[in-house]
Amino acid sequence: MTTNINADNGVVSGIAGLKTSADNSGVLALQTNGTTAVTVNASQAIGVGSTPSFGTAGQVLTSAGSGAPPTWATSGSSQWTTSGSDIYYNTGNVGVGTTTPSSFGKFGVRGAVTLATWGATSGHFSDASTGSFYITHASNKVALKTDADLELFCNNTGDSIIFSTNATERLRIPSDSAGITFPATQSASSNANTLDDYEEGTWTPTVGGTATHSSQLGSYVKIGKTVTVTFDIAVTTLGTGSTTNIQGLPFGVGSGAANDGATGYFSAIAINVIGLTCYGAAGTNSIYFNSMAAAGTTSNLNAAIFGNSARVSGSLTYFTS
Amino acid sequence: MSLTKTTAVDQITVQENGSILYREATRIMEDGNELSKTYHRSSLTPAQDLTGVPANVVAICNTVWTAEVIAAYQAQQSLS
Repeated sequence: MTTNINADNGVVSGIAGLKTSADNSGVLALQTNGTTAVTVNASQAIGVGSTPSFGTAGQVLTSAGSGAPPTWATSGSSQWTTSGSDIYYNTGNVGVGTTTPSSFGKFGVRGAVTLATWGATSGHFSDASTGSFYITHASNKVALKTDADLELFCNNTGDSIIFSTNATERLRIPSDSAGITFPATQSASSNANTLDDYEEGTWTPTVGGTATHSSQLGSYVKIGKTVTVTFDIAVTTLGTGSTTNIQGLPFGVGSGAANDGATGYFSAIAINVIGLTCYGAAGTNSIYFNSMAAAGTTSNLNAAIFGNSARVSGSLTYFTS
Repeated sequence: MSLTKTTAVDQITVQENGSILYREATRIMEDGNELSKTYHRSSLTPAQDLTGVPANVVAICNTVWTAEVIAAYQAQQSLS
């Protein structure tokens, strides 16, 4: 298709054409319908409109559609800097979902963030609305790795760092006390290398029956399946109580091991002895006593030491089942 | 700020021979936060007197301690 350009100085037809200035300024103008549309001045700047507008530095020509000439306008600015295939912003903070990114640090997001690779979710950061923060992954593992110290912080009193597997709490580090805490109810492990419980408390030693006591002090510490108890029992009136054993151990005595203990003090027991030891009877919750009445090679098993006013204190370590 | 002290049976264990172990947890609370917790454990053998034992433990004992369980326990004790 041929386009005719009427180079008649805009005078012959008065409709359209290339118009050159009458002076020597070197201005070149393009007219349509008798009106100058584009002007190129002597400095090679381009103006638009019947009264040429050359815009200002940095402006770009913006279309006004087919019914009006374009105009110069300021383009949208960006704080990002392009460097090769990289972009960066080095002078402030960046926020998504927040108007105060500085409160987050250099980069803050208020809302969930999903990190994905190869089409699978590999990480998920969740805020805020539930008060929880998660790093989750559906399969494989989530790892925290560092070449220096790895610190986990829990700053609020009453909160804890909790370690759980298979939806069950296994270990807890409270923020308001030193040490580690096992679940209040033991989740027993059959693995010989697993420490699965710690508990300390008190218990009430008794000789049972209708006996009355003037002292029934007992304490225990349980570490794994090992239980250490202390006791201090003083019988006032024996009645139908046992002459041979203390009942009420906090955990049952397991079988297959010698669960022996010692007495530290006794008084007014029912027999004369020169030595008195104790043991936890397998399959029971009772402590029995072995005595020596005189120098010899064999102790007297299950000695009947209790009577009115008898007192014995001691300790015992045993394995619970 | 209000302090409260509560004691409750928080664990009941039935052993194979019919003995019942139970744990009482005593908690000191301040405005809903636990300040301290201590445990006291007790054990009961079949047919033992249940005077003073917490009601929920008594209920377990009465269920577990059938005549057969009591007889088996007493037979076991006579052998030891």
